[in-house]
Amino acid sequence: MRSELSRALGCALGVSLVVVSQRAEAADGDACANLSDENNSIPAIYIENGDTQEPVVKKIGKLLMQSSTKLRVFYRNRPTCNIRSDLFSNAVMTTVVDGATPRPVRYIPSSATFDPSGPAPTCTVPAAGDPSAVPIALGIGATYLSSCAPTPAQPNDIGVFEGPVQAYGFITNKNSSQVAITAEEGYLAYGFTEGGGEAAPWTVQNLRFKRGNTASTTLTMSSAIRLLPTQMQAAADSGTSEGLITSVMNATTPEAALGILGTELFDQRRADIKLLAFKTFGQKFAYFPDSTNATFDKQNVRDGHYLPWSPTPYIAKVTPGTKTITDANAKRIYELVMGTRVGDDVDGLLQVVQSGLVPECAMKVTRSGDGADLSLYDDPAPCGCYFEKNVPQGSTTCKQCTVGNDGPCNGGKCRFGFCEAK
Amino acid sequence: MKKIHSCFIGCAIVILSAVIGVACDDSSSAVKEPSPDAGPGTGIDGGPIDSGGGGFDAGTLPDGAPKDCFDNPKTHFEIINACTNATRITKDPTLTKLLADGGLPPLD
Repeated sequence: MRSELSRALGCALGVSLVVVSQRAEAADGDACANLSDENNSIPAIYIENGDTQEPVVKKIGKLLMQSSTKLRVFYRNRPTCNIRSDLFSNAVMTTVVDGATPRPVRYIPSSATFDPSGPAPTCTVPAAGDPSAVPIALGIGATYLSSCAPTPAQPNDIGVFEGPVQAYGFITNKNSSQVAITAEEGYLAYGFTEGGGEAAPWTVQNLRFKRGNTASTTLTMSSAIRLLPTQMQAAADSGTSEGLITSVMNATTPEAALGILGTELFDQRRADIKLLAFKTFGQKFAYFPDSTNATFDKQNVRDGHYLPWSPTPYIAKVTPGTKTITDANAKRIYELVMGTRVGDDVDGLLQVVQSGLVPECAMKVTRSGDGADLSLYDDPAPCGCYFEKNVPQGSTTCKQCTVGNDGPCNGGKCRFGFCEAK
Repeated sequence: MKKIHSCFIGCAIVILSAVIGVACDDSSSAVKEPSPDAGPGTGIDGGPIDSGGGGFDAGTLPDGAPKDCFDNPKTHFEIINACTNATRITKDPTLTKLLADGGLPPLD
């Protein structure tokens, strides 16, 4: 009986190991230029991106590896202003540690079973000064670059292009009873040291969490409460969004926990943390980014009821004096993200929508910089119907069409399979 | 036969564990609506309307009552207070640190 039991347990262990090894998919730690068990002759692109953009980078990266025109994505999560600095100074991909936070390079493996919701394997890049290092061809920030220090200046052969909109929010522990926060509360909570702001229950400085001062999350959220990043009084820099989530989850006093996070990362962790509705200055009510706290429609981001958001800037080399991205792979990825690429077997726009980002063509409001007032926006080729239909749990009342983009449809035009007004 | 039987039991343990894990994992995206009594000064749509907006004039309802949102927003103020079918949450905390006019106090 005992031997039968141990055989059963052994078999269970064996099955578990198979499952685990399938999840790992590829070994960590190879040189990026020489990956074991991978075809190293596949064209590659090196990207630096905000960690809020990692989900969409991985999703599109997987499709690119499965495409008939394969492209391997190597990427590194980095604060937005560091990305700006790297791209504006023609930096190459070398080993980087920001303060105490290492910034590993990851890659998309060729396996069709690679799960983009899990971690991508890491690989190593040369040390600073090594001439074999590869240029960073694309930067993907997650807030207005005007919020960063203005140095180095933008070279005339580097272009900055607005990508999809990224929303942010205040988060708290799942066991907190709080459901909303006003901008004034945010200012008083984060603007003063321990107990000073009197914005109950968020009065414990070590239970208020933020990212580094060059990270888009900090830049956009601080401007939403009229503070500078350096004025936010919080526990030590969480280093990464994932680190911040862990800190909020482990807060010893759940009610007092307060953090800041990109909403598409929140969308993946709704079971673990809570996003607070936000009421901006002069607003009558607080709102979630979505129409309810159970949906993923980003309705309040799109129509201007939810304020903490910014576009994601795509940064790449251009032909001087033009807006033409010179690196063909960077150009391909940007066009896929914007939904403007024709004849590609990768649906980049769908990945954007399903990652919790809002394409500009689905926005009804715009602004000029972090914290700036909103004004109405009327996209020349709207995609609101496509967006509503394709978000998680999405639906639309728009009429479907099959005549192709720009084709006539119900007095308007067919856009991404749905009749829009123009 | 015994080996096959044992392996079957082992596999069943793994599958059962996975099922239990999924069942116990509260990772459903169906987040519950916040409760109306979720905290002081907090209430779901339908609760008392904030009067702190100052100069809020969105017109009146047919019965003469003041409207609490704008039907045809154009300015920033009207956009953030436009009428919507989204969940609205009333939150009007008493913040003693604010200035008398509701403005933000200088930082220490």
